[in-house]
Amino acid sequence: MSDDRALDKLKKKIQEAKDEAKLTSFKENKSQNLAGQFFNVGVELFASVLIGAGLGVFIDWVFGISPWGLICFFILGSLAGMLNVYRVLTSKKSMDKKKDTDV
Amino acid sequence: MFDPLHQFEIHSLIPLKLDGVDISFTNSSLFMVVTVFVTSFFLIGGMTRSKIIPGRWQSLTEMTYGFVANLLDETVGMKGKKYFPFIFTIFMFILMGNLIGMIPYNFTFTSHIIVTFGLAMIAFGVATLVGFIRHGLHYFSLFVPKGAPIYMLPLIVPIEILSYLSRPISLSVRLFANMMAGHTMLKVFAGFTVILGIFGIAPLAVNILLTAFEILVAILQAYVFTILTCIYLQDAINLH
Repeated sequence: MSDDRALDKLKKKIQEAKDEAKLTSFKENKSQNLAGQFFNVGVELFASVLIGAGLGVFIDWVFGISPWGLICFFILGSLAGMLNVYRVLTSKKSMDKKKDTDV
Repeated sequence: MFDPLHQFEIHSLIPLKLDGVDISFTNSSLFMVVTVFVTSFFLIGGMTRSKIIPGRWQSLTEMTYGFVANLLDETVGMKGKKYFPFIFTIFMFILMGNLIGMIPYNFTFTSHIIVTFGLAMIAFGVATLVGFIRHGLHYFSLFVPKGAPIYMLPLIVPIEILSYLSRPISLSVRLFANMMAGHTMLKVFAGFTVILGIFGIAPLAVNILLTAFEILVAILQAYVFTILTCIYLQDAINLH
């Protein structure tokens, strides 16, 4: 019997410690994410524009239609970049919301 | 005199040539090998005399394992269990590489874009291959968002394809830029400390803070790289 009580006590203690850890880690995550998020936005935009322009130059070189490939794919790349930025920002938000309901 | 970019210089330790291509063993390669050995030592050493009640070392290894397993489980789900070794290897390699680079006089191989791009291409390639193996040509439906009107497809599909292709670039640039910027900043403030003499205590204080921040960034970037790899894998496995 005494074993059971000791176990229950330990269980309670572990649960309390877990809850506390969850709460603090959640708080830390939120403030720290902001800086990372802004950096992410820049990287996403840059990467898509770069890929678009690169592909455009390649298509120009293959088909000899300079500068139309570059113009079209640069615009498409920029659009893809905006789409990526939108996705980064919205997915983070939905994740935060999910966490809110978890805690 | 205080060149902050000097630390990123590559020099060959064992010159090698393969068919005219320079494949020398460089300081970058050396630190990759060191990383592999340190990681293996850390994981194997922690688990050799494993007990039911783990000691410090054992719990550290178990925590890293549990952390990555949990991450994979949350993003991909049960189907992702098969890819755990791959994800775990990527995580440990980048994490250890970043942390070993934080030790003075060590070389940070993740501060070179070609290294991070190689890693990103591996992650991207595996995700794409998995997608094509699991779904065949049906994997291309990833580029067609659900519920998009048919007359918009000629515009949406190229955008989606470009967005997909930009993944390895954004993945590699994120890690590389963070590591390089951080290490350059550390060196710049260290240079100020030396130049200013007694007043160098101010940049020294900044440097101490920056070092702590850099360790955070080292761990965070390894985490970010891993979670994005998981998300790409998730896209490939659980096609909408």
